[in-house]
Parts: sequence; structure tokens; C-alpha cells
Amino acid sequence: MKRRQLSKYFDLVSYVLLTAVFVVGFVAYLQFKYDPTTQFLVVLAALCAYLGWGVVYHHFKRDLVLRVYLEYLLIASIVFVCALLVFWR
Amino acid sequence: MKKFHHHFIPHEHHGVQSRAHAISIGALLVYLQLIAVFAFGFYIVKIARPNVLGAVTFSPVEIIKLTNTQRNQNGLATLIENKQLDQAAEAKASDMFVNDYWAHYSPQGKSPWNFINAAGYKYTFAGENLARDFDDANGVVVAWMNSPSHRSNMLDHNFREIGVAVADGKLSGREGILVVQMFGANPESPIAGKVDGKQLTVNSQPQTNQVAGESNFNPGNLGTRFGMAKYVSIFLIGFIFLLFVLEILFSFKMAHLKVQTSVLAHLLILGFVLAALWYSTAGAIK
Repeated sequence: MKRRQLSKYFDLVSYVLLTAVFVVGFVAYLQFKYDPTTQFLVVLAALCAYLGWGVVYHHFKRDLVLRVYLEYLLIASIVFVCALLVFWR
Repeated sequence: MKKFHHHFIPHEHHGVQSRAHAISIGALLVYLQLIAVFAFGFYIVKIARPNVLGAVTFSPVEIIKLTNTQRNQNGLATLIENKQLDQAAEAKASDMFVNDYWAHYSPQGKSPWNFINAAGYKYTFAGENLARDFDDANGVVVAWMNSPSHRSNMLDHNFREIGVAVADGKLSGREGILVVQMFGANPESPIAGKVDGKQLTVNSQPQTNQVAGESNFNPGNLGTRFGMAKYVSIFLIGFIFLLFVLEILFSFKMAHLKVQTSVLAHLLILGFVLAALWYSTAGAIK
């Protein structure tokens, strides 16, 4: 029971942290309006945070299997190519 | 029918929870390949035939017209196009391409006033706004109006005349479109120049200005390059985002399905990027 509560607490803290990273990232992104290079770097930093968060979170959850790893990597890659397409013209 | 909706909602397959086929690892790999091929094709077209997806698609006349619309809406007088200010703007754009910089002051220390003086315009008030990589004139003017310092130049009651250059070329190895907007006035008193808000004291004598006639306007394919990239990206990321939202909704609705821990993280990054793409603008200003 205690272990289950700890796990829920860990989930909550992890997701609040990730949400905070994206909120801060988005505020930074808006600050650099009309500066696409810096905006691209902000998106890149958010992508790195997402990948790093994924590895750490699933490592502690003990479910960091190849499928999960590939899922994060593929979504990050799609986002990266889209960002490249839009910001790096 | 049952098989079809398995593409979009989570379901059980032989007693094991299965994600919607459209967001399986295989499907994500297909999306990645598709967007990579699209991006590569986009790049090739841009290199081989720059006019198809970009190059200059708007004219200085359009920038002047939109600037005057903004001034009129704010109760200010219409600016008259001046050939010497046009020449100064063209010389500044050319200098930025030749010396590979994007700034009000060149690496050699040339100020905007050097270009205005060299064009033979004797000013008492002068100002400069810069923009790059916008695909349409309206985007440029809206961006300037959203920036307090550029807006103050555009709505300055001291300015009487305007010159604009729109040019394409290579900056730092990248194809780009530059817009240079020069403002001027030459009443009797010697006063100041402004680079988006910063005052610069300049001594000059009054001079009569020339008014330019209509210049050519080619509407071309407005906004194609940036718009295509932006909306294709929003469509793809929005589609994946929607499938993950469906996964959460159906997992809550159906007692035998469980929300997978990674879904919320995927939704957060996809939501962040969707918002970022939505608020992305075509170019940059200075």
C-alpha cells in the first residue's frame, strides 16, 4: 500500500515537473517572437528535456523497455523534423 | 468496421491492451519517414527552384501601402514614397548581403544615416525598420506594429516620406528576403534620426524631395513556403496528439483498459509543439 502511494506521489511530482518545464519553455518561446533561430533552440531544449525526463521516469518505474524508448525517440524525431521545417528556413 | 476503428482507438488484442494502430511504433516510423521525405523535397525544391516556394513575392509598394493604412487608422498623414529613400533602402539591403550582416549598423560602422546621406536625401528626421524572411507584406507590417520601437517609427508624426527595398539573397549561407524601410522628413530645423526608437543627433540642411511614381507589384504566391511548412507540421502533430487524447478518453471509458504512463508525457510535448507552431511567425524583425 505504502509502495503504491509512493509511486503515485512520484508520478505526480514527475508530471508537475515536466509540465513546469513546458510552461517555462513556452513563455521563453513567446519572449523570442520574431527570432526563429532562438525559438528553434527553445523547442530543441524542450525536446531534450522530454527525452531526458522519459529515460529517468521510466528507469525509476522499471519499465524502460525498447518499445517505450523507441516511442519517445520517434515522437521526438517527428517533432524535430517539423521544427526544422518551420524554423530553419 | 471493428478493424477500422482499431486504427484510432485503444483496444484489447488476444487479452492484451493494444494501442491504436495509428500510433503504434510502426505508424510513428511511417510518419517520421513521410515528414522527412517532405522536408527533404522541400529543401531540394528550395535549392533547385527558389521561385516555386519563396523568393520575393511582395513589393515595396505593398509595404508602403500597408504602412500608410496603419498611419491613417491612427490619424496620421500618409507618407509619400521618395526615390532617394528607396535608393538608400536598396543600398542598405545590398550592403547587408555583400557584408553578410543583419543589423542597423554594419560591421564597418556604417549607420542607416550614411545610406540616406549617400542617396542625396538631406534629412531632419530619419528612421529605419528592418525585417527578414517574411513571405508576405502584411506579415512584415503586423510584426512591426506589434513591436513598440518599430511601431513608434511607423507612427511617428515627424516623418513625411518613405522608401522601401525588398530584396532576396544569401545571408550567413541561407537564402533570405530582406525588407528595409527608411523614413525621412526635411523641414527647416536640424534634429534627430531614429533607429527603432533610439535617438541620434544629426545635422543636416533641408532639401526638396522627389516623389516616386508607381512601381511594379507582383503578387506572386504569397506565403507559400512558410505556410506550407507550418500547416503540414500542425496537421501531422495535431493528428498524433488527437490519437493520444482518444487513447486517454477510451481508457477512462472502458474499465478493462489502462492509461499507459508515457501517454501524458507525449501529450505534453505534442501540445507544447502545437502551440509553438501555431504562434510561429514567418520572419524576424530588427
